[in-house]
Amino acid sequence: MKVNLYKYLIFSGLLLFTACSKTPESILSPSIKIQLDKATGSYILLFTAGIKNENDSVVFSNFNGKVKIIDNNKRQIISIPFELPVILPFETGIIKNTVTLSESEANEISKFLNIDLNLLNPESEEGTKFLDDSNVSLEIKGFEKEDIIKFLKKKVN
Amino acid sequence: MEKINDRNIYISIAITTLVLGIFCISISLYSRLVVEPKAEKLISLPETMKQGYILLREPQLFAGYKYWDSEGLAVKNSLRYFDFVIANDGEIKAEERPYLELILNRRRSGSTLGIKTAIFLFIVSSIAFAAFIFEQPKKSA
Repeated sequence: MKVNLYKYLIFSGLLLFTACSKTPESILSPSIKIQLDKATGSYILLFTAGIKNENDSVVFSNFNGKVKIIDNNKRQIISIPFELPVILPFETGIIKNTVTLSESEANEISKFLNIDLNLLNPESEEGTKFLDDSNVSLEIKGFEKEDIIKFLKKKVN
Repeated sequence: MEKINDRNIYISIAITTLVLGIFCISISLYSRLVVEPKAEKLISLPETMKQGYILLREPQLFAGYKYWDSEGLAVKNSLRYFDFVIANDGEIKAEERPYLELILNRRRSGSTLGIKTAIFLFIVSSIAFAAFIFEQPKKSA
């Protein structure tokens, strides 16, 4: 069988390149909290999670997408958009997002978390609930990859 | 059964280990004689510390920043810190120089490992070459 050497080398190079950088596939420690906005009387969802860059030399820029919160029946409850300007190597980019909930969304989330919305205290700092990994899914929309040396050189020059 | 030609095996081992040895020693000596003195000079002055760090951020072939043992964790934390400082347009302070030296020492240990590996490969190559020469008269006799 005749093998085109150039194609083989390009393919090997691509494989090597893709093997060199790892794209985050999951989020760390997702947690949510529902608060009652005193001024408007609406419910607010505070979402926090981390995205780890496990690469030693790759910077992710404009890392954006959605985090979907799904119930135990795999039904989507809410989708939370996020954007992280930069995630440096070995670092964990922190997603901190606030979403104003519609009444139906607030009801669904309260059912899912098993909390009574009528008992929410606007002043309370308590009530953060950590979510199970099976109740969260990450949908990456886009990002840019850059070598750390190039990235740092731009900052210094 | 056809007898395997030992001479071909010896010369193949001698050439392969010699090439690998030359590869290891050229990379390691370049690091030892060019990169490390330059990085040491740059990190010794507060105004060129950032450039020195960027030079050190490119790992030596035998001292990569991908895998960490317990001793290497200090280097990993230093990389995280300095990446963050430069990314946020901060300055590296003079008192932070020991942490840059920690990264430089990792590069030095990488080049030392490369030189030692090359010496080992040259020894293997020499033995294989000696075996090749020793085998020749025995064959022709």
